[in-house]
Amino acid sequence: MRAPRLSVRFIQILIQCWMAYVLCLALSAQALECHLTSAEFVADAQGKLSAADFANGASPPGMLAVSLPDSWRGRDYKQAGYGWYRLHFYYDEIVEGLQHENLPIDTQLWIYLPRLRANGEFYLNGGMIYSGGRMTAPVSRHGEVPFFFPLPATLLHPGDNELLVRIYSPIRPDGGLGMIRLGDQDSLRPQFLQRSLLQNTGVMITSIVMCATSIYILVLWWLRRRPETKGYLFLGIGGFFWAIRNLHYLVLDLPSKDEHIVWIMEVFLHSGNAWFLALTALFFLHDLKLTKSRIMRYFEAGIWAISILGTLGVWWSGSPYPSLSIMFACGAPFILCMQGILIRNAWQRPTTENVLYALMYLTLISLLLHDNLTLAGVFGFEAIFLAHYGGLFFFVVVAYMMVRRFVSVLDNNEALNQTLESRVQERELQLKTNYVRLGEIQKENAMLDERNRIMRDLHDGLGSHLLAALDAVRRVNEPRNVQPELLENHKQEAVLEAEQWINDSLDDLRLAIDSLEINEHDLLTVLGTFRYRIERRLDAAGIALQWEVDNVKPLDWLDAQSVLHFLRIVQEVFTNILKHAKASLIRLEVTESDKWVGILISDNGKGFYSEGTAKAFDASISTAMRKMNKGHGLANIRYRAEKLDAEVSFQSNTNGTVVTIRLPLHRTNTTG
Amino acid sequence: MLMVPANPQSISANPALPERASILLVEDDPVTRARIGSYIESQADLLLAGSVSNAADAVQWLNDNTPDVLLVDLGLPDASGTEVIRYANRRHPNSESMVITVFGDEAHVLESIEAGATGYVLKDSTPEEIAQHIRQLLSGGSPISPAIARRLLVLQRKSSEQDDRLPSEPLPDSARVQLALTEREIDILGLIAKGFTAPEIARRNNLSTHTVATHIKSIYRKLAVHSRAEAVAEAQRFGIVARDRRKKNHDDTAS
Repeated sequence: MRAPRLSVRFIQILIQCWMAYVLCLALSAQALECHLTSAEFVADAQGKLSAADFANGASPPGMLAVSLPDSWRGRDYKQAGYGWYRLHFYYDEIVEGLQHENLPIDTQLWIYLPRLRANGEFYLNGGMIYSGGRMTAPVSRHGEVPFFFPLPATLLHPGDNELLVRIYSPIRPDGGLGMIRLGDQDSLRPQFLQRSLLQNTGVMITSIVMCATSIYILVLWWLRRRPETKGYLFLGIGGFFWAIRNLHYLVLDLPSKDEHIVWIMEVFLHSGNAWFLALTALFFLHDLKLTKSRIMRYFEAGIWAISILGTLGVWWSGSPYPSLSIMFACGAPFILCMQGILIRNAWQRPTTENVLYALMYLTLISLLLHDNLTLAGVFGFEAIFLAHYGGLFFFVVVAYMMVRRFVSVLDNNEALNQTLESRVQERELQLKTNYVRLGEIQKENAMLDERNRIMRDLHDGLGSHLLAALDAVRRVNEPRNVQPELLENHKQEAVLEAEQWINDSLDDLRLAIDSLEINEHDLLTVLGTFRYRIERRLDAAGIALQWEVDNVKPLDWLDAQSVLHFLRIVQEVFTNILKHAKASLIRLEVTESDKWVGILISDNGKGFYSEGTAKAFDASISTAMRKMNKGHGLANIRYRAEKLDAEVSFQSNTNGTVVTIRLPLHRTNTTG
Repeated sequence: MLMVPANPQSISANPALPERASILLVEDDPVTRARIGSYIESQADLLLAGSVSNAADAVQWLNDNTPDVLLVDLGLPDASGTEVIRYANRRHPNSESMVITVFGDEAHVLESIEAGATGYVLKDSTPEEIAQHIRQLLSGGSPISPAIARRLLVLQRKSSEQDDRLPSEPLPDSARVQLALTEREIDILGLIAKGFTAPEIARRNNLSTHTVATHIKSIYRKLAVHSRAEAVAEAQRFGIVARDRRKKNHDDTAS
């Protein structure tokens, strides 16, 4: 809320200052201003007359009385040429006026002339007092620059004074002379400055702004060169044409003496308007994406054709007329069509942009129409040209639109970034959820694997042991093919066998539980636990155990399943010793190398791991067991060793057996 | 089976015991109860003084009787076996408690030890093994398996890591475990974890077997001592031994 209040206050202050300034001017209105409105005019197409021809009241033939401002338009002059105006004023009247205004009699007198076309020379009582613009080639372009100069007091004399104005107009019908104001500096200077500001300085400022905007637009186009931004190219070039066209109001002398170059410049100056209109139309067509339909393509081609042919026409004919007139006559329908398209577009889609486009184009062509009418003298010879301000308005709107687009792109970008950010967050969350879910699935899978393993183990180990026990118990209850005298013996054997199987089942169960309990990849605790289990049975069998272990590196692959495999191997070895070796001492030693952890289990019994005993050992396993290729005995040991990537070797002789189990320190593949 | 007897001769049935040791068996599974009960009854040196199937009956029994050894299943229908142990320890501090468990996992075993059990035996043990454990307890030893020894070591390591923290550092809840073991005790636990028996450990360290047994019992007690001082809910956690006790414990290393 602060900013608007401040700006309102600022505007108020400005208005107050301006009013005070106007009031001061009004109060200090000690000003003299005489208007010289009646003159005599004579055309001098070939430039044969000189000031001397008007000396002492002499009049060349063809002189006619005119009132100022006077325009040559409508008179029958075929070509470029000179013209002379003669005016009279009475010094006594001026002195009277000065006295009336309480100004000193010797106040310096000035002349202010809003407009003459195109170049002029001023003579006072036969002596040249001021010259504006060259009249011979290269001819100056002084047409839109107001005159303001002092009258030399030495040339003034009492009574009648004669002011002679010589004019040269390269484009004949444009020639003319405005009303000459005579007075003191204070009264005339503000008028001169005002006109100069509107017609020259203001135009210069707008031209600079347009050039800068055009550069900006062209840079923008260059950085984003693609079919849909082609409109900006036309707009940028159009801006330069507009600036060139504005040179009418700024440049007095073209920067060359070569008449061909000068003429090319003139061609550009004269066709600037047409090109600007053409290029802006093209900008609209491309910017509003109206170039798709065939009729619009014809429209575009028509614009190009008129602009190029018209320009070439001016160039070839060596004169802006009638090419420019034909060009405008042909272009007018296009301009009106363009206006119609813009209005329709704004009507159908009344966005700020579309409405502003329609309005500014309307403003532009209205002002151009105004200027053409002004040039035609409709609003009087001294009327001010305004179209350049239309161009400025045009470019302010376009620049505004472009900034708006840029800002909206930035906004979109930000919004997109935010969306993206939230999407990324969303995605992250999703990923996290997925990850958690994946973890759960992995966990579930691991549990499933573990369950399967336990099931398999129960089935293969415990289950089959119990089945064998059941089988043995059945043999007790339902003896088959047994001779009666051997029945008791048979029953006793079967009971012992059942007991053995159940004991084995319990061993299996314990091993399975231990394998689940032991963690931290610690082989020694695994062995310790095994000893804890087996010790009592060794004691009962009268076998001493020599335990020689020391710290070994942890085996990172030692999971529950590996532990079970390992424990089964060790158990198998111990069971074999208990069953077959008749040993009194077992020695367990753990050794370590770079790649292996070795477990040496030796006994002092009778060696039984010869080829034959191994077979016999295997044969001692019941038929039910042997059916499974993963059965017990050596095959079982080998099978489990394979699962661990371990090596098991047997060395057996009559002094005992050494079983060496070598476990790898590292395993790459731990499946199995 | 590692036995840590007060002296090696007491492993077998001890004729020196003047009378049969009274035993309370708390087990909800009738088959197991019958199996263990009948075996105990068959032993000349053991007396099955009571055999109940739930915690309430056990408490009632304990109100009227004092057992030499309490045998408790952890998974009772009305309460955890640790509650019974805790009660028995309060009421009969001289009684030994032993847990019969199907769960051999760290949490259960340590919880039992913390409640005051000085031994634990897995349910799949044979009655002979259980009887031997009982005898071992009676003669002043404490049965400990390599796996449990290993776990106590891990627990000790965690608690000493915790000690090294700065006081301002907040402790994660899981680390609120402190087990103030002496170096000798840690050494003994390490050897047990590797499968060495008490006599072997004694030989290696030039100690008597009895001292080794005392150390093991001391480890058990350290967990239990703490838990008795704590509220019941707090005692559900693992032992958190007050720090000022550490110093005192260092003196024990001399033995």
